[in-house]
Amino acid sequence: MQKLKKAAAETKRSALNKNGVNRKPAKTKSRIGTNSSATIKSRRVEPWPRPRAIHVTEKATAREIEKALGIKRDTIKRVERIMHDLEAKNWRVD
Amino acid sequence: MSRHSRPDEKDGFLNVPFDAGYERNLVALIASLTALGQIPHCVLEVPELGSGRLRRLLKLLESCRTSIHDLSRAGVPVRFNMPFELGLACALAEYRKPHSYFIMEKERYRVDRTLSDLKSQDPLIHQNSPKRIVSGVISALRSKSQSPDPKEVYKNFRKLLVIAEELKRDYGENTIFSRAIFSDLVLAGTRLAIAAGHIKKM
Repeated sequence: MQKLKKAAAETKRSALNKNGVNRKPAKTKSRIGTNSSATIKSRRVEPWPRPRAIHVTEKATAREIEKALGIKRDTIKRVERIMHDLEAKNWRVD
Repeated sequence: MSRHSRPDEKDGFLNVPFDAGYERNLVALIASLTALGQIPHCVLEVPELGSGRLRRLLKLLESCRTSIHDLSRAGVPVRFNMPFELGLACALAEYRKPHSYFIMEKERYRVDRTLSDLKSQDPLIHQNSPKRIVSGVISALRSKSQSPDPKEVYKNFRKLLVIAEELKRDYGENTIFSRAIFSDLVLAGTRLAIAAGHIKKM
């Protein structure tokens, strides 16, 4: 009797995963046939959602501004240098 | 500068007085517009080449999606340029959409007396304060994707003021109302806005 009880408990444990949930639920009548290869082939695969279009104002980068204002490269370098120097001085003018 | 017939959403036209007392306000406008991802333009970019300044000005205004018109200095001696350019913007908004324009004034209700035809418009009252200009422009032009914190924009305005002083010294100019300094300020304003995370890099 003891052996029988132990065997029954072992069978029950093996059917459960570590979370205590049944590994393989029994197929009900409504589920039969849904996993057939024919069904999978005909199933419509949704494409990945396209990345959200970036708002036009977000694209206003320094390069675009430079292009729009027709600023030359040497001018850009000069402004960058001024900003860099001022940042080093903690934005204080002598 | 290549200009398109369709107004660019990023371009904003500034119709402001060019006097020493307005320098800080112009810098505040540049700081605000660049924080919103816009490219400020103004009449300083239209050189006097004798080939029809008005046509070039109109073309520049036409290429901008928005325009800001400050009527606070339209006093004595009477300067007709700003009301005239506002009239051009009104006509554009009416007949060549899309274009939207904003009016700025120093005192409340003054525009009702000086320009009663536009009584339905609510002007932005700035009381000659850059702080009010920053908060007013941000609240008027902010969008879901572009809504920087006015306090952060004001910090950038303070930095841009320092840059303006440095640029004046560099160019040997007394004011910032020159084509070169204006475009350099727009560039610096954009760099500051990117660094502050107000506008994103591509």
